[in-house]
Amino acid sequence: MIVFDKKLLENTFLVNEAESMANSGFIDYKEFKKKTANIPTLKSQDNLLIRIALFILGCLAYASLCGFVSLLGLNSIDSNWYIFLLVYALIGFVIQEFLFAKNGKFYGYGLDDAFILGTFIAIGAFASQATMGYNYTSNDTLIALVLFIVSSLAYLRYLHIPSIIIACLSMTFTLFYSVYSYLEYGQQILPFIFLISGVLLFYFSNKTLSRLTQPYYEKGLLITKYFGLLLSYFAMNYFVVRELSSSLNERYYEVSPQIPMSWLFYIFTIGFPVVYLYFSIKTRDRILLYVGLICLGFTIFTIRFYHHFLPTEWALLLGGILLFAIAYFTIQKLKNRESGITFIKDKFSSTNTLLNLELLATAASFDLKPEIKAPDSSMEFGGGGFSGGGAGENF
Amino acid sequence: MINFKENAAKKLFENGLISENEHQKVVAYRKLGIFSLHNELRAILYLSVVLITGGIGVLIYQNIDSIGHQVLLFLLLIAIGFCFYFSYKSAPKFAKTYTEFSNSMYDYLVLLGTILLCTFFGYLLYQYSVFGTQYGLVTLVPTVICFAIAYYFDNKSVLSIAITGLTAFIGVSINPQMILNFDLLNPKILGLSAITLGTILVAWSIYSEKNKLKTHFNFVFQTYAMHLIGLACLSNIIDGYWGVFLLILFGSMFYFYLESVKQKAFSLFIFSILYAYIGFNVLLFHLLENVDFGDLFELFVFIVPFYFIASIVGFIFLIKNFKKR
Repeated sequence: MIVFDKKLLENTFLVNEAESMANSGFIDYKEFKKKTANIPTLKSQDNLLIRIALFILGCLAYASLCGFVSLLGLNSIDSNWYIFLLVYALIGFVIQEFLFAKNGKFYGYGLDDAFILGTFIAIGAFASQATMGYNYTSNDTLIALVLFIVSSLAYLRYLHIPSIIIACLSMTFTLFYSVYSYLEYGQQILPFIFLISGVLLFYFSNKTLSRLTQPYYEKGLLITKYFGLLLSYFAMNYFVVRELSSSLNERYYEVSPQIPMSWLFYIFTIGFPVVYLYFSIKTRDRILLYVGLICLGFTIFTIRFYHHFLPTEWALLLGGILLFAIAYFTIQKLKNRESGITFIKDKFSSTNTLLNLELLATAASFDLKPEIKAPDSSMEFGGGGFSGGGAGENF
Repeated sequence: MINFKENAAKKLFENGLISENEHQKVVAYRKLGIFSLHNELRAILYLSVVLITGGIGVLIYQNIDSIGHQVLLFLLLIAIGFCFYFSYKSAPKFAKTYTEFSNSMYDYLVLLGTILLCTFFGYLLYQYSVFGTQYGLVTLVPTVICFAIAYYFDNKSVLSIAITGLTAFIGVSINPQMILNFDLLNPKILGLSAITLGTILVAWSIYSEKNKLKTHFNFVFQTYAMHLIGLACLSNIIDGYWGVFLLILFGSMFYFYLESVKQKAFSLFIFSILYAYIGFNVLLFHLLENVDFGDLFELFVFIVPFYFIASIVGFIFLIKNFKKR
């Protein structure tokens, strides 16, 4: 199923591993460069900025190619114009398959991202137009299903990570639309169906991971595994269930009504993050830790959304002080530990990205305005503190 | 479950890419089972600073009439004193090279203190009009203090606040969102003064490079300088003296390109090329503006895909060139 040559793929994985060792100082970088110079590998772009730039250029190239083809077929355009969408998809597929994957050996290069994702959009738009009924509503279930099939196939063939994320999302939407529109009482059992499917996704991904003999599909399976966990949390989250059910009913406009069995959803909303965080520390699973933190943040948001027991500014201040205290005491406790859970830097993970992110966030949130603009407002100048400058939109 | 990382290390050893000694080291390190919470705890500290300053800002704003100015200023001063007392006590001695707190928690304490200090100054200067109507000084005084703090405690976040203050002083509001929003035609970006400030920042980075004064700050200076000059030029190349600004743009981006190669900085490289590419397209647009296409318009559409493909090839060529060096 994989389009790439197995030998090349294996070399790519090995060289990547060696590079991470070189970056963390276990082997000499120059030595590594010299030794791996002659090993044939797939071309991938590990710098995210360059990959994004190439992605944008790829999108421009794909769009202009599509425009070019449309111009050639300008005379034949009539009511069946959406056939063109299929032609666009075909162009995207052919270029990705033969030019990029087989000939160029691109694997996560930026250009291939543009053409794969562009093909998805073309196919999705085609499905939407082809299923368009007389009352101008398209069949959402079918669109989601088509996208799910196409993106899973793209992942299986090109090992393209964004594709597996799209596959997960489109699977969720397929499930949602099919349960909601075709099942009686579908809306009532929706949370439980998502919970079960999330757990099943987690279980089967985990099982397949443990049986894996080659590392090619490891990353994708990890993504589906954690997606399953996130899905189960959000399926049972009180806020999601309550707001979604009231918006699906289309009868309530201002305040969403209380849902039955709210205690059950509250238990899950609070229970999931606790369980995730506990297991992340116990099994030393970094991604699970992030999943747990995301869920915890959303739980706090959920509770504060319905129960205003503290004014926002006090909640910010006290929450900040509490977080600082937690971090301080954890650091004090972990400072001198050399193995296991520690505060020393892991040699295999770089800190630079985080530091740069911090710089960006500081610059973004602490926005000093020029003095000519605001002669008479205390909101405008002399420090972001006045307008709550610290809390920029990034958080 | 197979541990693919260990397998890979073993294969690397078998293929002769790493020596036995190196392999043993990696295996031994992995055996320690290090689960470092370093980055996560730092992120939590940063988040707490953001929350605290946000909370204090809103609190001050809401209670301005009920508590009284002097009390508020005094409370702020106590908080600032607390932050700087503890960070000063455990700060390493000032040095021209890179210095670090023994506990990185203090970095965030410094940041917290700085933001509170800026709030304090803004409040003081606005409420009591210490400098009368000289509003420029309102931004300049905290900026100078921020520079001092940034250099003393070796804190890049504070440095970025200081540079933002400088840009505010000359009447430019610049922040990362503007680049994300492609806010290029913003008249707030005053062309010449922004370019002058950018040049000064570059000159300062060259000066500190020569004197070995906190050379790791140069990247921040140059990033700010590049975006200042780039955005100022881009907002002025549509009309007016577009030729002059295009020349400045190409010249400065060429400098930043050379600089990125020297510093091996990918972000400088990407953005210098991006600005130059946008400038080049605008130049093409200016040239094509005066051509009457007539029936040749279809030919023009015909050529566009090839233009983009040529740009991609050129870009890949530049990257390869960059990586080689």
